[in-house]
Amino acid sequence: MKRAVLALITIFVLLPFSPWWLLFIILSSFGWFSVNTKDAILSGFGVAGISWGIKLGISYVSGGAILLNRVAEMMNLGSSFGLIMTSLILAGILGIFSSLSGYQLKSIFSQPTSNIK
Amino acid sequence: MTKLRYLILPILTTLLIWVLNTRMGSLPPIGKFLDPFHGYLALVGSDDLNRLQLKFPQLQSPVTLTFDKLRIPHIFAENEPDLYFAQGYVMAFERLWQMEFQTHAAGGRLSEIVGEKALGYDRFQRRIGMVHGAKNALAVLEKDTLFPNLLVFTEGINAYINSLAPDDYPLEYKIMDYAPEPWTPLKTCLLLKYMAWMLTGRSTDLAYTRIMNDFGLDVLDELYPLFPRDFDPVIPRGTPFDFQAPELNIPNSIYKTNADTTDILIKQLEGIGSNNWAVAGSRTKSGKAILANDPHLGLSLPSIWYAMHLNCPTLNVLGVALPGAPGIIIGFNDHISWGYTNGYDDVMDWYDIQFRDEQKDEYWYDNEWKKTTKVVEEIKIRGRQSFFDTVTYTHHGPVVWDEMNQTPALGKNNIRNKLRQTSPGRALRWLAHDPSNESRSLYLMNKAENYDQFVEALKTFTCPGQNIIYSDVEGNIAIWHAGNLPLKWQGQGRLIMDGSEPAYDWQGTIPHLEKPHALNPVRGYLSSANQHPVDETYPHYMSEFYWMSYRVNQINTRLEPLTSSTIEDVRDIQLDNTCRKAQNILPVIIPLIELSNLTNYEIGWLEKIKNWDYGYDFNSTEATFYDTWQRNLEALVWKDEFDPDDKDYIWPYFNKLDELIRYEPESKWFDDKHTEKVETLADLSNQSFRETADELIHKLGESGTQWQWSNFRGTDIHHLAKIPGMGRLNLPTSGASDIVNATGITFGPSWRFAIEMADDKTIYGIYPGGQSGYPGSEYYDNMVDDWVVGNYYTIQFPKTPNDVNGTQINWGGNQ
Repeated sequence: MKRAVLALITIFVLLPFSPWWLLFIILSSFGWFSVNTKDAILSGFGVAGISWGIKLGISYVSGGAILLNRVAEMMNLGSSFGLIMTSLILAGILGIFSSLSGYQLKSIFSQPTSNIK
Repeated sequence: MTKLRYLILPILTTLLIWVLNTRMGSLPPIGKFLDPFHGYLALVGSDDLNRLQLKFPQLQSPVTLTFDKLRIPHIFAENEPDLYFAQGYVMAFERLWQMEFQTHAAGGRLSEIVGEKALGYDRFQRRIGMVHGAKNALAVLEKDTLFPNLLVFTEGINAYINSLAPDDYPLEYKIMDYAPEPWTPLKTCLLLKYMAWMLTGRSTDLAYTRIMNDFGLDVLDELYPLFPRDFDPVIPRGTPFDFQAPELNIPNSIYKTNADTTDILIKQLEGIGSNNWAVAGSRTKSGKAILANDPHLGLSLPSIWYAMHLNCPTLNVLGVALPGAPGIIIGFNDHISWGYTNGYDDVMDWYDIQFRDEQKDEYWYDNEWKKTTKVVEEIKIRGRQSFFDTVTYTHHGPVVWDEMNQTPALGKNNIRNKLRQTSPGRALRWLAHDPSNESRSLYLMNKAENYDQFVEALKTFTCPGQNIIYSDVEGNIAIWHAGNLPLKWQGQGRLIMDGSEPAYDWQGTIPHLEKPHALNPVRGYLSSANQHPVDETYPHYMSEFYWMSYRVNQINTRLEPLTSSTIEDVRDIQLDNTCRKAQNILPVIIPLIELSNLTNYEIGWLEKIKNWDYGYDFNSTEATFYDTWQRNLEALVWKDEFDPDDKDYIWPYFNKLDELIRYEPESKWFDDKHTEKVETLADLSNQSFRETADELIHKLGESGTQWQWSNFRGTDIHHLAKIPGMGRLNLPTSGASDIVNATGITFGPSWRFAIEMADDKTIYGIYPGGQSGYPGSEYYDNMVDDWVVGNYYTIQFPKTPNDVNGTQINWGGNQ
């Protein structure tokens, strides 16, 4: 939980000044510290989804409803709800991939002893 | 090796992120675009006017802007440079993407944005000489004392562009994944050429040549007359013309040439149309002149117009501007008001060129070989190598096509096919290529205080030629058929001409004071609706492409009895949905319908049409029936001659059929030449009536709301780049082509404007869109619904920034 909060803080501090894909590098870094695959998947999905969800929510309530509806129509997603869900799913999937990538990269450098046991 | 498997997912993730960061086809880079930190959502609030609370070192003095409730900026400056700087900045703030996209479209640079699929379009734009014309205009402007105004306007636009971080780029840049580039005066010239193209980019030379070749000159003269019966010219009949046309060099015989090599002629064009009129104070209730203008254009979002008020000690003007061009195009100042309808002069002519050899370095002209000029156009293509296109220029103009289908990406229904009515190896003479200075005209018109200054302003107005209506606070009204009118001999430019013979060249232009114009006519009103500017007594030859007279006939019918008119009357006329075509022909053809051949259902429709008020109102079902009937009748009359399988022709305009029905019901043209029987108007009327009932019952059922005109036709306002979701579609509009309220599926009144010219003016206006170009703004399309139902807004013309309620912005000067 602490890791997730730390990840969210890092994202909201760094993302406004960095390219969009930095989110997934951050998530890869935090994935490195995941204790198992399930932890990596849940934290990746959760942190990515929550960070995009918060921004989407803020944008929606601060006058973005018209824009969301138009973009939803452009992308043939029916409504702003469809667009929001699509965005969250995309972020979540990328979050899972990123977090798992970090977790797997760690495996390259870890000792194989645990497997022997 | 086992551990390498742990690299698979990171590599896949990296690839996935790369894919989502890259534009695929017409899709935006999905990840980059949906990212709420930097993508489209970074634009939320970008239309907040408080973002304009800035300081500009470029300004000499303070500038105050007040945005009223319609978001019209009232800009108050202390000098003209500051005023134009502010205009440029505000325009860019509201409409940057539109401004730049239009210049890319005009200059044939869309391939840089959307890739190879735009190559055909870009080649077309280059090959018709759009950039050539814009550069010629710029060369004139650079020598003009007004050029500094354009430079500060440009500086204002660039100040806004330079203030943008990538996150701030307008939505369309993010969708198409590109960035704005610095604005230049050439871009403004390109925009004006874009207007010239929209308003003069048409030609019937090949179509008429083909008809002459296949049917003879007599048929051409009969079916496509220079002066249609019942037409009402812009300059009232009886206006004296106290000058003579000069002697021109006329060829000995009519040049004949081949017209069979192109199979992409379109049929009849749908009339878009514009209206303007002015009523003298002697015929108004207030005693003040009233002016009205509703220019009809292809509609899009963001809207073509942007309403503005510009004020400084030497200028006080309000109206609609063209985003990307300084000043006001249609509007008024303290003293005068003005508005436009398209002049419809034939200023595009085509010449056969006889080249010495395939190199096209020399061509035969005036009994000698003359050198051509070659221009190599580099068309940059996104993600590909540049395409280089060599265009050969003669003294007439560019050879637009060296071979058939040279710009294959353009579909048969593309608007540019209007011009593709010609074939390879022919040179285009187009007025828009000539050096010109419309910017000076607009500037002087913005400042004019009386009729003489208005006339002076029109001297440099070259292309596109316009009927410019005028009224002033003194109660004067006037109209000028402005623009450079080529001096031509009778019939010149109607057919494809001989490019080697000097007698076929344009032989100068009609002197300014001889251009068709009228001031304070006895009848007390003036009007235009794209019709022929003059009657047969005008000494100079005027070309053939003027529009039918239905709209102006209706406008004049409405104006004539109004001896004490008000501005509300004027507004009401702008919304007139009466169909003069139906009014003319139905009393003749309805009695021809034989009841014995009709079903009860068909008899019911006949009764409804008999009792119809000829109104194309949005909820009219009769309009749906009549419109289809007219189309079917037209097809029965002309299809046998002008729609064979192997060749296309332009059908005669409807006013010809109207004349035949009313004045020549025994005409041979009613006979179907493919049958042994000799068909009559009665036969065709009956057949087309029954076909119409049959067609509509199959399409719409026996009854229901789908029969209503607006559901049958309706209007779509697409986004300028046709991006789905950014337009307004299926709008329940009234009106149609050749009706005063000339509204179609994709076109309509782009700005309804009416003004009473008192010192304290009453002004109404509306356009189908909104002031903001940002699709997420409530001001993107906030006027559309009111426009559809015919509502108007009162336009404020404040004397100071504090005289209007709204958001006020203060820009300090550098002092």
